[in-house]
Amino acid sequence: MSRIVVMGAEGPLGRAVAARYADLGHDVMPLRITTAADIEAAVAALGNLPIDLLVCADDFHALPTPAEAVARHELQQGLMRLAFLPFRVAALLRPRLVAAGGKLVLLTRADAVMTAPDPSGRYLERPFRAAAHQLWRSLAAEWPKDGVACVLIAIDTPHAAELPAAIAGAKNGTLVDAAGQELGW
Amino acid sequence: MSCILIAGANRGIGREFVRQFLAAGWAVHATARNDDAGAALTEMGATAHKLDIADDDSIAALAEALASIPFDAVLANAGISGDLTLPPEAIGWEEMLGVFETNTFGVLRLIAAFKPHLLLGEKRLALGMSSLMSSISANDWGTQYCYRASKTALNALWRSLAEEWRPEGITCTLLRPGFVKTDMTRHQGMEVAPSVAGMLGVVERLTLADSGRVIGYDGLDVPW
Repeated sequence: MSRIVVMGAEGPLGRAVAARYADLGHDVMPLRITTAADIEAAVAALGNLPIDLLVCADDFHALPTPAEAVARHELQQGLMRLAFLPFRVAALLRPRLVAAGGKLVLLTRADAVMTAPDPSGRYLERPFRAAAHQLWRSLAAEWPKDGVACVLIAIDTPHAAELPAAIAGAKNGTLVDAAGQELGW
Repeated sequence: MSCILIAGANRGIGREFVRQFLAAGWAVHATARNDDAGAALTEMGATAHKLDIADDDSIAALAEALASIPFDAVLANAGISGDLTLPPEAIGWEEMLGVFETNTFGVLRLIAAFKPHLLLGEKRLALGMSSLMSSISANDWGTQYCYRASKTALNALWRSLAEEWRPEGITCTLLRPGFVKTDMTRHQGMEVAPSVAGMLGVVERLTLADSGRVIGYDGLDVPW
């Protein structure tokens, strides 16, 4: 049995992931964080035991917005939610991932990659998922020396049945879909 | 005579852009955050303005003040590195936000505020500054977390902007200066002048077909 932390388990995708791993007999701990002020206490509440897998999920899907109508505070919220919070949680839980030789997973969307078309202007989502991809790629360059693999899985539906196999098979520093096929950035 | 607005022109690459665009016969409006830098830009022959790209009121005031001017190009050059040495566990919200405010959010807010000016112009070039550090596929050594992520986000913003503004004939392209001797690089790398000369050449050849690209001073695309 592995110890698995699922960030975003309050949403449909995270909930499905948590349920899937629980069905497989793992010890699943949900982690709910909505602001930077929540992080330290929420992470501390997980205890100090090694963590085999940290999965960061967020279902957020931005509505199309003309560029001129995008407000700075909305951009700040997007950065917080989709890039900073998972990155900060990963950084804080690093010692426990190292202790288990664990894996760090960011669930993202296939339509957030640079080559995907965006005719409608999802300025409040795509840039921050892309930023998170970059942050994960940097972690993937630095953390394997301590035994932690960092991967990204693009999954667009809450049907998470395939996910454990995709996570288990994903190589460090790659972005793959739920079937394990490697995607571009 | 073509006309350009260059934001973040008080030093380094921005200042050299001012010099070379003036030499190429463009009318140049250039911005800096402080009055001393503005005076130096005026001496060079540019029309200087005060602007803090991290402040929406400052952006709105400048757009209003220049409302009647058709700009062929707007170049959002302002950028900061943040603390490039911070490990992941030392990066807090204020550090990340500070880098994004200037490198990403301010650039989009500025370009959006000057869309009406671009529509009055002929060339209609919406330009920003990216970096090889924005490339995810080329990142195989980590470090520089906030700077890298801010430029990657900018690439994504410009990809969306290119699609949204293409029907109005606005070319949205990002430029890569290369590793250039500036304060940000502690004056290591290539000289500023050839980098800017290369980018100016890219700008002069841009067409709507180039919208959404990130193009280096050497004419090569930055890989995603």
